[in-house]
Amino acid sequence: MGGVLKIYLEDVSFRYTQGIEAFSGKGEAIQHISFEITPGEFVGIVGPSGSGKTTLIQHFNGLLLPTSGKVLIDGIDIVQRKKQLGKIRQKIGIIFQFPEFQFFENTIYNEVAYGPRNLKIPEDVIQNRMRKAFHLLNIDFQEFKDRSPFQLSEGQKRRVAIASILVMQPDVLVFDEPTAGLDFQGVNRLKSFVKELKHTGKTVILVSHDMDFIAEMVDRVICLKSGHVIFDGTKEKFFTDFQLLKAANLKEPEVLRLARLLQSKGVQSPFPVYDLSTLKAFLEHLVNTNFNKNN
Amino acid sequence: MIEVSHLKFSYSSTIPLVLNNINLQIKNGETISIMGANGSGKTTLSRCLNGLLWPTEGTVYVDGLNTKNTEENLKIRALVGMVFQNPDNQIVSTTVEREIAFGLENLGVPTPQMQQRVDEILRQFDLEKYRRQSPHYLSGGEKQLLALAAIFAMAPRYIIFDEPTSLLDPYSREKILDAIFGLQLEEGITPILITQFPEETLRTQRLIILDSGKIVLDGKPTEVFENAEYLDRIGIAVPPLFRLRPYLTKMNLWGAF
Repeated sequence: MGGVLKIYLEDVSFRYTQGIEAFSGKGEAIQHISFEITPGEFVGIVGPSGSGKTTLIQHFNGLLLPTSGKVLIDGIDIVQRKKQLGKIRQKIGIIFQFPEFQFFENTIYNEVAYGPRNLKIPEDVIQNRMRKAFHLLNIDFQEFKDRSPFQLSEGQKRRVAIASILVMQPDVLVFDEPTAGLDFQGVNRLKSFVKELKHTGKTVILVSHDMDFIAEMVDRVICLKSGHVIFDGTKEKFFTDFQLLKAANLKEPEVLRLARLLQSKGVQSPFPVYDLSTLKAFLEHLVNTNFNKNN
Repeated sequence: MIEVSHLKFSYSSTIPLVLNNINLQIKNGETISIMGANGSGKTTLSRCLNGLLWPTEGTVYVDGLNTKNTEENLKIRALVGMVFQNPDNQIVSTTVEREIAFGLENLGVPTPQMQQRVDEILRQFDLEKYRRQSPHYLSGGEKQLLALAAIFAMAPRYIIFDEPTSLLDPYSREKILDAIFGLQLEEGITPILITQFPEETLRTQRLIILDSGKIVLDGKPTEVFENAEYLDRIGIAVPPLFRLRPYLTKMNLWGAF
């Protein structure tokens, strides 16, 4: 069931239109980008606002086609073989910043079923997939199926949008700023959902400004600045390079900062540490064993 | 001052109250932040504060003007600016420059002053390079910046920010917050910040927590975050540092960071 799809970019550049470029002097939105994302990888794409992150991910399923360079999805050149784009879009699902803009059906059931119905997938198969997706996302099928997708809270809208991608059974899931506008509980639900995906072999690509979220979720970080890749490597390397973080308008994840400060105060805390519950459990243990004895 | 008394609000008589007996006074020059889970009534409350929504019961007064009084409607909207979470719901113009001028024109600002104000704002928000570009081609974060800039330009007395930084990178977030609180100092604007980022509230004097349409906590942010376990239960994020507070206190390290 796992993903098998490889994303390969070679010297990809994109510019929106000649006209806009003439006005703005912004030049190409992304420039000379090359990398490969292999099946099952968890990758974070980060960088300042306006650095080209959203433009970049739209190349993964041919929503945008490169002005120059090559995009190969599973070996298929998306420019040369545009007829394959429909197939590629089933395999690579993108969940955008404001998913409600994609909604147009009268009920949540119809909204989520829209994609697979277009592919003439039998209704019982669709329903089966939908129940599984809703279960994974903690949406009550009976309660929500007949409601309007427009009358949902932010968190619910986001989850319905994810469900409508999941029923297409993609190999790759791309999330653009998935934590924006979600409350604490919503973010926690999203985190456990993304962690669940690790066991399915699917590739997950997260675009986010939330460094604690990225640090906890991914293994590899690709950092963009002004349309260029300025870093591509492990999160361990990325989050300890303060100069790089500063150059990218980013900050050290708070949990990492706290662990570092604890060390500077002589507390042998685990480092690096990427989620707060680990750090909290460590301190709890420390307090229970050492400090209570001393007092 | 904004005075909210016994405010109840319901979108329809068949569904439960969205706001249930809110009492709140916001003084001029105060910096205030509001947190609450999705669906707790934050956005509804903010829309009651500038007269976009009318109380089902109770009253809202803005500088002595009753928001239910239709004749005062425009005055109240000029007094209370609103920056929404999704900039696409707010941006209407064809160029960045025109977007900033739009509100000023509606207020009847003469052209020379308007031009000067637009230049000032473009510089302050680092949007000069995009001035003749269509907002459509800005990134999500840049659009958020533009929506903020357009409201700032009109210099209202209060500005409600409904998650104004949710799409921005950490550095730009800091910049926006600096601008928000700088304006408060320089121009006497009272910012009301609705946010999901608990650390942002530490820059305000007062934090209000909403849960199911009620104010459940109201105080200095550092005091409010002492209730970390309770906030967890009602789905409110607490700054990571405050989560470690009990342990750091025992280790005599609280206050060392």
